[in-house]
Amino acid sequence: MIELENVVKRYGTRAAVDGMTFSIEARTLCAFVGPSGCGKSTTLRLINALIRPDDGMIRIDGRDISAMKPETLRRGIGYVIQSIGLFPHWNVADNIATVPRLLHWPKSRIERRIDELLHLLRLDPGEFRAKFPHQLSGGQQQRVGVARALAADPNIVLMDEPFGALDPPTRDALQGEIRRIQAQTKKTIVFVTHDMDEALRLGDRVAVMESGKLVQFATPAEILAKPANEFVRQFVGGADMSIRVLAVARVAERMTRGGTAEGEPIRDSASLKEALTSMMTSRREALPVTDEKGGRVGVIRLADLARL
Amino acid sequence: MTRALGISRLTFALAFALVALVLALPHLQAPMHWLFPEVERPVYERASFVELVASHLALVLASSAAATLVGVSAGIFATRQSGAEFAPLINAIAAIGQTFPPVAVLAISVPLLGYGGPPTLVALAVYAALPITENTIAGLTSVSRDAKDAAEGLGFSRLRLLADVELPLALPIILTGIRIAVIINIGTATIGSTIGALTLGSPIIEGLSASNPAYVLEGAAVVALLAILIDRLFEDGVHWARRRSGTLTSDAHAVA
Repeated sequence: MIELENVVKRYGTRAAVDGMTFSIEARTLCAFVGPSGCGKSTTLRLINALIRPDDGMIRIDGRDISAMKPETLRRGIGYVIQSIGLFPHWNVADNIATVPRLLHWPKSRIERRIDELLHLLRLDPGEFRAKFPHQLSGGQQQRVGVARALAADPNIVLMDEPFGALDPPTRDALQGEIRRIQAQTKKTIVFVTHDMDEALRLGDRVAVMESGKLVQFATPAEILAKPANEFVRQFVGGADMSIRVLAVARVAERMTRGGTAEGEPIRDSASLKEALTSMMTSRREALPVTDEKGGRVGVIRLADLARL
Repeated sequence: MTRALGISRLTFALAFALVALVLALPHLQAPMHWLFPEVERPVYERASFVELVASHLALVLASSAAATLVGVSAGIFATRQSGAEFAPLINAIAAIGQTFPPVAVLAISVPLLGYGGPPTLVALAVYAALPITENTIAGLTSVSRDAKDAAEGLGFSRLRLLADVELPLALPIILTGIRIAVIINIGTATIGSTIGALTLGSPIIEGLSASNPAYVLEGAAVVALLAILIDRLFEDGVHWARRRSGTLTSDAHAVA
C-alpha cells in the first residue's frame, strides 16, 4: 500500500503538487491522469524519491520513505519511463539484469530470470537476448523496459507515460500486456497518462489531477457515472461520456437474468462496446449471455445498453 | 577492414614499417650519402634511433597519462552537481588554453623548471590536459538524459551511474580527446630537444643548426611514421569503444 499524506512540492512559488492525500491499495492498477502540468508525473516521482516533497509524508507499506536510503528504496520499485531509457551499450539481457546485478543476485538466478521475463513479455529469448536496443522497434524496446522494471520482482512498479511514445496498435498491444501481467503477477502498478481512455481502460482506480490537486479518486465506472466536477466531466469527454461508458461497463452489469435470444452468445465479462459491436454486425437487438463456464445466464438487449 | 584483437591490418603494417625503418637507419650510410652528397656524415649517430624512439615515446606516454588523469578528473568534476559552478570556468580554460601554441607552453616552462626532460614533460602534460578536459565534458554531457533518468530511477548510486553508464557512453568522445592530445604531444615533444630533452627532435634540431638536411629528414620521417601509427591505434580504439557503447550501428555486432 502506498499512502500520500498532504504531500506538497513547490517549484519557486508554484505548487506542482498541492496537498495530495490518497492511498493506493496493494495489488491494484492505479492511473494518474490529467492535463500536462497537473502534477501527475511529479507525484509519481515523489513515490520513488526522485523528487523530495517540501511537506507531507509518503509511506510504502507503512514505512516513511524519507527515512530510507533512496537507492535501496528504488531498487525495490520498478520504474518505466516514456523515453524508455534502455542503456544503449548493453544488450537486452544486460539491460534486464540491471537491478538484480545491483542487488548482487547470483549469476545463475539472473540468467533464469532474464529468460522468464522475456517469456512474460512475449519476446523470444533466443532471438532477443543478445540484441542491442538500437536493433529493436519502439514496442520491443518498451517491452524490454517493462521487463527491466520487473526484473527484481518488486511489489510496486511505477510507469511514467509508458505508452506515450508508441504508435496506436503497439500501444494497444502493450496496454493489454500490462493488464495481463498485473493479473498474473499481482503487482501494485501506478502509471501516469494524459489519455483518459487509457486511464479508464487500464486503471482499477483512477486519480484525476488538476493544478497539483487531486480532483477525484475513484473507479472508472464511478468517474463516468458521477464526475466530481465540471473539470472531470469535460476531461472525461463531455458529450462523448456516455459512449465511453460502453467501453468501461461490463455486460454483467446491464443484462437481464433468465430469458433467451437467438444466435452467437457473448460473455458476461465482455464490455458493452463489444456487445454493441456484435449486435450491429449480426443485426440483432438481443444477445444471449454466457458465464465463464459457458452456461447461458441471461440476455442483453439494445435498450439495456442505452440505459444510463 | 579485417581486424585481429581489434587492431587493423593497416596498423600492423605501419608498426612493421616503423620498426624496420628504425633498425635499418644505421645501415643506410650509402643511400643517404647518395641523396645528400654534400654532407659528410649523412646518418645521425649521436644517439641510436632505438634510443630516441624510446625516450620520445616515454615522454609522450608519461605526459599523456598524466594529462588523461588530470583532464578526465576535471571533466568529471565539472559535470557533477557539486562542480557545476566551476564548469564554465573549466571549459573556458580548456578552450582558451588551446589557442596558445604548444611551443609557447614549452618556452614558459623553461624559466620555471629549467632544461631537460622534466620541463618538457610538464609542458606536454599541461597542454594535453586541455583537449582531454574539453572532450570529457562534451562526452559526459552528451550521455542521453533518458539513460541517466532510468538509471537513477532503478536505484544506481552516483558512482555506479558514472562507472556503468556515463563513462562507457562518453568513452568514444573522451578517447578522441586523448587522441588529439597524444598526436599533438608526439609533434611537440620534438621541440623538447631545443631545451635539452632527448627526443626524435634531437636529429632535427641538430640538422637545422648544422645545415645537415639528412638529419632533419631522418628525424622527421621517424616522427611522422610514429604519429601515423599511434593515430591508427586510436582509430582502432575508438572503433572498439563505439562498438561497445552501442553508438556504432551497421556491421558492428556481427563482429562483437
